[in-house]
Amino acid sequence: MFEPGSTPRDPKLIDLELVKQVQNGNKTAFNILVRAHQRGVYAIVFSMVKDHDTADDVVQDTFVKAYKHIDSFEAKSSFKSWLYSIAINTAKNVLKSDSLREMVDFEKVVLHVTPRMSENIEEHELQIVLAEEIEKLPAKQKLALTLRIFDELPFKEIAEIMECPYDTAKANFRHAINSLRKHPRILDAA
Amino acid sequence: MNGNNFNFSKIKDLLKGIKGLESKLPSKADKKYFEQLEGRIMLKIKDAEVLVACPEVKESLVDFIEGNIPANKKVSIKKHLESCNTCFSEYMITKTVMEDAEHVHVTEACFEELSEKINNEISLCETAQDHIANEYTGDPVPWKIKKHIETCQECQKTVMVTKSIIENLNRLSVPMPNEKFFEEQLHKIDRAIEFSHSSKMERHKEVRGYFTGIMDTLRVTLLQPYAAISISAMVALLIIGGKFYSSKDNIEEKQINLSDLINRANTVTSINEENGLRVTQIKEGIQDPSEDERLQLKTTGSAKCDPVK
Repeated sequence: MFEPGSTPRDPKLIDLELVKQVQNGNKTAFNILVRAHQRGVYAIVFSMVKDHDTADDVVQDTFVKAYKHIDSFEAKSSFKSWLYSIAINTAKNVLKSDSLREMVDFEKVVLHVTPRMSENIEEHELQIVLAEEIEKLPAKQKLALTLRIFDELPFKEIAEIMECPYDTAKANFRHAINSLRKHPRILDAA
Repeated sequence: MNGNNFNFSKIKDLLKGIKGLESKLPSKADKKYFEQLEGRIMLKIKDAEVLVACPEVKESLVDFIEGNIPANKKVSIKKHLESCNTCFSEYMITKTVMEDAEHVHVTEACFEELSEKINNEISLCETAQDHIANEYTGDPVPWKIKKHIETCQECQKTVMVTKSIIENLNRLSVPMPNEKFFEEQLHKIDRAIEFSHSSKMERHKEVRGYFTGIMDTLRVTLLQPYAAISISAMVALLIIGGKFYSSKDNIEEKQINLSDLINRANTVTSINEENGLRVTQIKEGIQDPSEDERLQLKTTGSAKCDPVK
């Protein structure tokens, strides 16, 4: 475990140590893992289901599933990408149910703009347009963009989460950027 | 413009109304005076109709020099050039360049080469623009394309737009709930895990309880003398019945097999006996052999047995 006052370490290594402890029956270690990842998982799930309460349920399901199957985690990937895979698959399953499709308001803009004090009107306008246009991107491109920009995940992990080859993950991100760049509204605003 | 229907009294009023102008009007500003004024105004308006602005003149200079321009526009540009020094100097430069260009001999091959270069540049530009996002994926950009991006104005513009998009994407975020929500969520997850644990244990307990119940019932029942005797008798009957049926089946099967064998043996013996008797009779010349039998005797090589010889 990490002692107080020790030098900052790679979060991935910390995660792996915590997972080992959970596998040995330490439930407190799992609480630390939840605290470390629940915001990230919530963000990615909310960007998919677009509803706060549903996102909350999916996040809970994700962590309960992760706890139940923690023994199957073999550290071939990082804990974060393993956890995100569970979250994305759980959200996908939830989205498949027709009842929810009726309930979720797909018109809602997922990414809202958080302008900074120093920002000018043009930048603010560009952010609004970007937030709207991201929603119109194909699902895979949007997911690759979200994981890269908002979660700052490496493409290797994005590929693992999206269950696709490494180059495909990169291509999805590249296409997303190029689509946004070529959009007349974004060109005008930029 | 309705230039022919001039309202003299209105113009008169208008001119008089202008501060300080009234004193400049001649004392005899009669109808004739205003008619002359109208003529002058009409001329000005006519000029104004063909007047052109600088950008339009600059744009039409080549056509003006080559004479590919409508007559009225030609006059207006000419007038503009007479009054505008900037446009005139531009006109002179364009004219000189065009005159010089007439002496340059450009071959068809030269045009083709130029056209190919332009096309290559356009396609390179398109490829390069698609490679600009590579900066953000860590993928290499070919040297030729990299060089093009550095020198092409259009590509540089795309680089700036892409940079601006990435910077502004970083400023977007998903609306996050407050800390209290995450704290409560943590407790909910905790409880859900506890519940799944306890329900698992309860299920184990339930299953174990069922088994214990069944065993207890059996134990109690079996301890009763009449139940024990009845069950023992039933089990014994089942075993004996089972054995009896299986042994009966075996005996019948064996009997069938045995009788079949005996029948087969009898048939074979009678055939052999018949054949032996006939062979003996043939050998002894009592019976004549058939054609087949004669051939068979011939192939076995038994001369003695051959009744023909």
